[in-house]
Amino acid sequence: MQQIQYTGEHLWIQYLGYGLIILAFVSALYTSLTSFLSRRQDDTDVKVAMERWSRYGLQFHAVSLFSVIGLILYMMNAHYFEFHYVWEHVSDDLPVKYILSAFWEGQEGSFLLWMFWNIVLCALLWRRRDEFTFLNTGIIMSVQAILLTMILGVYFFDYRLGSNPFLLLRQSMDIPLFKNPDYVSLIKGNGLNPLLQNYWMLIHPPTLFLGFASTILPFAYALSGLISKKYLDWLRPSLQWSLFAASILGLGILMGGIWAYEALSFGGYWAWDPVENMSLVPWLVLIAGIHAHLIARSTPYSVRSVFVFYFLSFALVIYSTYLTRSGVLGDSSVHAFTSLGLGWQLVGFILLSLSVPLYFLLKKRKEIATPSEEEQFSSREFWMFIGSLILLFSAVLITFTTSIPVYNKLLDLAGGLINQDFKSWHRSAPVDVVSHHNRFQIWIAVIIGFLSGLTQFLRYAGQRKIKLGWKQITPVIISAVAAMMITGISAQWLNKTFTSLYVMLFAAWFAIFCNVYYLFTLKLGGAKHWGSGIAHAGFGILLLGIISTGINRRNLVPERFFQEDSVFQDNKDNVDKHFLLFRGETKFVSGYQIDYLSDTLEGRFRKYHITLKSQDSLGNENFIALNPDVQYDNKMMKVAAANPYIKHYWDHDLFSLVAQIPRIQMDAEEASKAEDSLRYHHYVAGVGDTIDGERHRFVINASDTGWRSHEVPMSEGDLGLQLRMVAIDKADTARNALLAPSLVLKSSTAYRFPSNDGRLGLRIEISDSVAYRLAEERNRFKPVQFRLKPGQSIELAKDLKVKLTGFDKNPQSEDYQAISGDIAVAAVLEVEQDGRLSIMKPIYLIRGREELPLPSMDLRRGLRMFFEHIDPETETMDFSYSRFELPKRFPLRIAENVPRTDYIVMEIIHFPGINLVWIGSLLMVAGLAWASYQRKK
Amino acid sequence: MKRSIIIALLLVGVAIALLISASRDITSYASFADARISGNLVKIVGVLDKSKEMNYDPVADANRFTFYVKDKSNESLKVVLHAAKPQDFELSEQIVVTGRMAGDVFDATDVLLKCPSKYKDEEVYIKSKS
Repeated sequence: MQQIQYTGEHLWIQYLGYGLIILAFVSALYTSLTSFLSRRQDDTDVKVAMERWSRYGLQFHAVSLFSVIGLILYMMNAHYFEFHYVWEHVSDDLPVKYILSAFWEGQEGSFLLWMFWNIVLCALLWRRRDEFTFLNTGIIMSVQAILLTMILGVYFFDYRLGSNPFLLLRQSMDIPLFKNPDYVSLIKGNGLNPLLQNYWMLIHPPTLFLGFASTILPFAYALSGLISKKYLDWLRPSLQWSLFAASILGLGILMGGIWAYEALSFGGYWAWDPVENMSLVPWLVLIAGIHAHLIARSTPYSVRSVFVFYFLSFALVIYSTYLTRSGVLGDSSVHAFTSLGLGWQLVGFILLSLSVPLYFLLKKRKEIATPSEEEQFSSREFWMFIGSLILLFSAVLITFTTSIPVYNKLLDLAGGLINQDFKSWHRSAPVDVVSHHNRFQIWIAVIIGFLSGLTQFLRYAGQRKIKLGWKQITPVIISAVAAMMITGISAQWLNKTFTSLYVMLFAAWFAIFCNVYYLFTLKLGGAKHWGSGIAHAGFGILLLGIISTGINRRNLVPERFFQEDSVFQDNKDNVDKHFLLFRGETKFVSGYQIDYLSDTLEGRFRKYHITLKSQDSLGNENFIALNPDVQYDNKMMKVAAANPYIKHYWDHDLFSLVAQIPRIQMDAEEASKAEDSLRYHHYVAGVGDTIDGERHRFVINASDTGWRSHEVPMSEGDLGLQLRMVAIDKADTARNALLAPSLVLKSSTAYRFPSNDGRLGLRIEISDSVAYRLAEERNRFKPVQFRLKPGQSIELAKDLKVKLTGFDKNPQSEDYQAISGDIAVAAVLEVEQDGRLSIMKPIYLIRGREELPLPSMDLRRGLRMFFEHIDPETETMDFSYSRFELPKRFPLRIAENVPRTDYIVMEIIHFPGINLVWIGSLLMVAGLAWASYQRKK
Repeated sequence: MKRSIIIALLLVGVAIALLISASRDITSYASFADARISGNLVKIVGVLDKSKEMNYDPVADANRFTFYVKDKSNESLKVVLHAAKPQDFELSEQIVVTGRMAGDVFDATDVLLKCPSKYKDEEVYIKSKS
C-alpha cells in the first residue's frame, strides 16, 4: 500500500507521549524495586544508596507522569483532533473550563488522575516518614506500574496491553476519510457529554478518585506490616491515613449524590446504580476496618480482622474499577465507561490484589498474636466488632446483587469451555432495584444506629474484667427517653404512623442523642474523640434524612375529582408523575397554582419560566419561580438533557424538571418533518369576507400597513401588511381565537410572519405573492414634499387636507426613546382624509448632528407623515407624506392540523428533609476528617 | 471460645438467610408468553418494533406512551408505559420493560433503554457538515 504523507498532524506529541508513558512505567518499576531492596540491605551504605535511588526514581516518575498529563491537557486545549482522545472528548465549542472534565471523562484520563493522586499520596507519606515508608512506596509504585499498563497501548503478540491516550484517530479506525492527506483540517471533535458539562464534574471525579486512590494507604501499611513482621507497629502511623481515606472517599460519594440530585433527571440522590454501589462498598469495608483498627489499637483483639478489612477494601476498589470499565455492566448502569478491551487486564489486577495479600496473610497468620480469651460481652470492643461485621454484611449484600452481570459473564465463560450456551441461565437485576436494596440496607442502618449510640459509652476492656456501671447506663437511658419522645413528634411531622417507621425514627434519634450527649461529656482534652461523636451523630441525621425523603417524597399532581384507574394500584407512584402544562393556561397541582409563562432559548439551553403560587393560612400569596431547562446537544440538533431546577428551603426542596417538550422543539429533523406534514389550503379573501375552512370559519376584520416587531423594526421605505382575523371552530363556536398574520417588505426582502394558535391547531400566513404587489406599490409612490407655517393649512389632494396647529415639545411615540442630548419636537397636524379628522404627530429629532425624522403613521389608511426640517429664519417647516393603497384581496395559506407547541410535560417533586441527608453526610465526612487530623499529632 | 463460635455461626446463618432472600428478587428475563402465564411483575428484554406505530400524545394524557416491543421469541406486543416518553426512545438498540400483562397489552411501570451512545459510534464528524 502506498504511504500517505499526512499534513497538519502533530506527531511530535505522539512520540513524546509514548516516550513519557514508557519512562513513567519504567521509573515506577525502578522505584518500587529500589524501595523493596533498600529494606533488605544490612550494609548501611548500600541501604542509604538504595533509598536515595528510590527517591530519585520517584521524582523522575512524578515528572514523567505529570508531563504525560500536561501533554494531554495541552493537546486537548489546542484542539488537536487528529488524536483519538482529543477527538472523542473535546469539541471546538467546548468552554475552556471544561477541558479538565473532558480529560477525566475517558478511561485513560481517569486512570491518569488516579495515578496522579498515587504520586501525591507518596509525597504525603514521605513528608511524614516512618519505618514503613519505603515498603509503602514499593507497594504503591507496584500498583502504579500495573495502572500504567492500562494506558501503555503496546502489543504482546495479538493482545493489546492498555489503551494509549496518544493514539491517532486514523490509527483507531479505518475509514475512507484517511485517504485524504489533509484530513486533519476536515475533522471536528465529538465533544463532551452535555450531562457532564457541569461544575460538579470538575470537583466530583478528582475527589472520588483521590478517595479510591487513598484506600491504598491502609492497604500498603497492612501489607508492609505483614512483610516486615511488625504486625502491630503499623497500626499506629496508619490510622490517620485510614481515616483520611474514609473521609475523602465519603466526600467523593457524597458529591456524586449531590451531582445526581442537582443535575440528573431521576429526582433523587441515590439510585442503587451499580457504579454508585461499587463506590459505597469499599467505603463500608474501610469503615469496618477502621473500627477493627481502633479495637486493635486499644486491646489485643481484632488484629487479623484489620488486615482482612483493609485488603478487602482495596481489592473492592479494583473490582469496582473492573465493573465500571470492562463493559461487563453493559446496559445496567448509566455511568459505565465504554469498554476499551481492558477486561482481562483488570481481572488480572483483581486477582493480584487479592492473592498477594492473601499469600502473606496465610503465611504469617500464626505469627500474629491473638489473645486466648474472648471479648467480654459488656466491652466496647465486642460491640464495635459486631458493628464492623454488620457493615461487612451490608457490603456483601450490595455486592451480591450488583455482581449479577459478572455471574452471567462467568456462566458464558464456563459455557464456552464446554461448548454450551448458557444464555437461558442469565439472570437480571431485581425488577425494583431500589426497594430491593432498601429492604436490607434500611434495617442494617437501623442496627448501626443503635450500635453507634450504645457503644459510645462502653469502655475498652482488653484482658481486664469490667462491669457495667451507672456511668454507662445513665446516658443510654436518658437518650432513649429523649429519642422516644421526639420519635412521636417526628412521625407526626412525616404524617405517617406505622410500627417500623417508629423503630427507624427511634434508631436515628437514639444515635443522635447518644452522640450529642457523648460530645458534651468530653472535656476539652477529649478533642481526639470529637470526630467519633460528630460522625456518628451525623449518621443518625443522615438516617433521619433518608427516612423522611424516602417516605414523604411526593410528586405534585394535578387536582382531580376521581381516582386513577385501578390497574396500577401497586404502582401509584408512577401514575401522574408527569403533568401537562400549556403556556398561558393555569393549572392546579397539589395545592399550588401553576403557570407556564414562557420559554427562552439561551445558547444551547431552552429555559422555562414557570411560577407556582400558593396561599398560606393567613391568605398571603407566595410566589415561587421555577426555571428548569433543557439542553441541546453540541450541534443544536437534538435535546441532550433535561436539567432540573431545585428550589431549596430549610425543611424541604422543590425539584422541578421539564420531562417532555414538543417534538419539533426537541429535534431539528422532527421540526422539518412536522413542517412538511402540514396541510395548507389556499384562499383569497378581502376585509369583511368569511373563509369556510375545513374545521373553522375565518373572518377578516381589518387590514393595515402596520408592523411592529422587535426583531425586525420598521424603517423608512418599509412596507407592511397585517390582517386582523377571527377563527371560530365550526363545531364549537366557544372555541375561537384572534390571529394576525403579517408580511413585511424591507428593501428587497419579504419577511413572513405567520400567526399560530396552538389550541385550535391553526397556522395562517399571507402568501408571498402579496410581496410583489407591495413592492409594486412601493415603487409607484414617492414621498410628496410640502411646507407649512404654524396655523397654515394645505390641500394636498382632493381628499387630503393638513393643518399645522402647533407643536409638542415632549413628543411621545412607540418608536421614540429619549436619550439625553436629543432635540426633539413633534408637529401637531390636523389631517382631514376622506372627510374624517385625525391628529398626527410626526417627530423632528436631532440626535448628535443628524436630523432623524420619525414618521407618524395612520396604519388603517396607509398614510405616513414625516417632519423633515425646520428653517428657524423663515419659520417654515418642511414635511413630506406618502400614501399607498393596500390590496383589496389577500391570498392566504391556512393549515388546520398544526401540532401544539405551546406545552411542556413537567414533573415537580416535594422533598422533605433532604437537607438532613446533606448535613448528616457532611458531618460524617467532617468527623472522619477531624479524627484523621487529630491522629496526625 | 464457645461464645464466638455461636456468634459466628449465628452471623453466617443470618448472612445465608439474607442472601437467599436477596436472590429471590433476582429475576430472569421473561418473554410476553411467560408474563401471560405467570401474571407477575416481570422484566422483558426486547427491541422496539419500528414497523408499528408509537404513540405519545401529551395533550391527551401526559402519562401514557404506547409502543410495540419484540421480545426474545420474536413476539411483538403493544406496551403501555404509564409515564412520559423517554428521551432518545427511537434510537434505542434494546429495551427492557418492567411490568405485567393487562389483558392484551403489557402494562409497563418502567423502561430501561440501551442506546448507542454518541461516544461509542465510530463516525468521524466532518466540519463542513455542520
